Amino acid sequence: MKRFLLASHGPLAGAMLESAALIVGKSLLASFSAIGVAMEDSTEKIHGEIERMFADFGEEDEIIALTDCCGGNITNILTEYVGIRNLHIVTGMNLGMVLEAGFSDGEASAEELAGRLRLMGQEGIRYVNAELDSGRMEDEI
Amino acid sequence: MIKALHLDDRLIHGQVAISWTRYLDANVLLVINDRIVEDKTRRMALKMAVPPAVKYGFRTVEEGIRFLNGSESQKYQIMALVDNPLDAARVCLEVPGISRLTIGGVRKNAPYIMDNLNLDAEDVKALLRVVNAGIAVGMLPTPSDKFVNLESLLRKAAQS
Repeated sequence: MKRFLLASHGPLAGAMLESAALIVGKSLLASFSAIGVAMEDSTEKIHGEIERMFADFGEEDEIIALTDCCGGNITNILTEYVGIRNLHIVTGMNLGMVLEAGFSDGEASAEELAGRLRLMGQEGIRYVNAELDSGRMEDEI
Repeated sequence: MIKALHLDDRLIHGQVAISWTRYLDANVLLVINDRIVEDKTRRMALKMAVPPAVKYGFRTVEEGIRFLNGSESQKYQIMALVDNPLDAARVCLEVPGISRLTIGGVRKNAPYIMDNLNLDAEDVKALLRVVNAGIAVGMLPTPSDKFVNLESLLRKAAQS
């Protein structure tokens, strides 16, 4: 099965999960976990937490990690597990991506899903003023 | 055809755009509201919340009812949205085929009915007209929540 891991500095990942649950309900997010690293956490401690989490997952599970930002510490540490576990990492987590992940069915491969999440994340970023100025109302009936 | 009528003061927002649209497999979000047809900025803002591949429309209450009862709407799977109980009651009573009214929330300076739902006496009367027409009225912010039927709370509120 697919497992989703939200990873961040500080409380962002846990809060992201709570916010997603407001919108889609908790039941859709049953295969999600969150990890937030504190400034004072040692690299060993972070590794330990990640490994404890991974140990709870099945050996065959596909793990899709959404991390807070590219180049961040937690992203870097998770990257060390690519190849060791069936782990796919997408950076720049936002709420739209988390919701999309929650709605994903089991059918898409982890690679396809990771690609879709990346696209969703990018498409969700818009400059509202520019769109208001454009005045375009395509698809209106 | 109309797949669902949903009462929510936020109209199109995350729970509607993401959860409801997918659950219903709706391809049109129809906002029925007299003020919004005059408010371009609000229409643009709501339009931005519409998911890709879903169409949307804005109609006054009168036009919305006519549209839902007309032939053009039959080719669409429509989720209709209203932001107040009076409009909800008009649509429920004037568009045949609506089996229930779901509520995401109505938050305003009016007596508390339950969390995220405040109704004044007019609102309660309007929703009771819906109940009395045999249409279930209940809270259901997202399709995965449990439908909380409001009939007894509305009858109690009408008496106080």
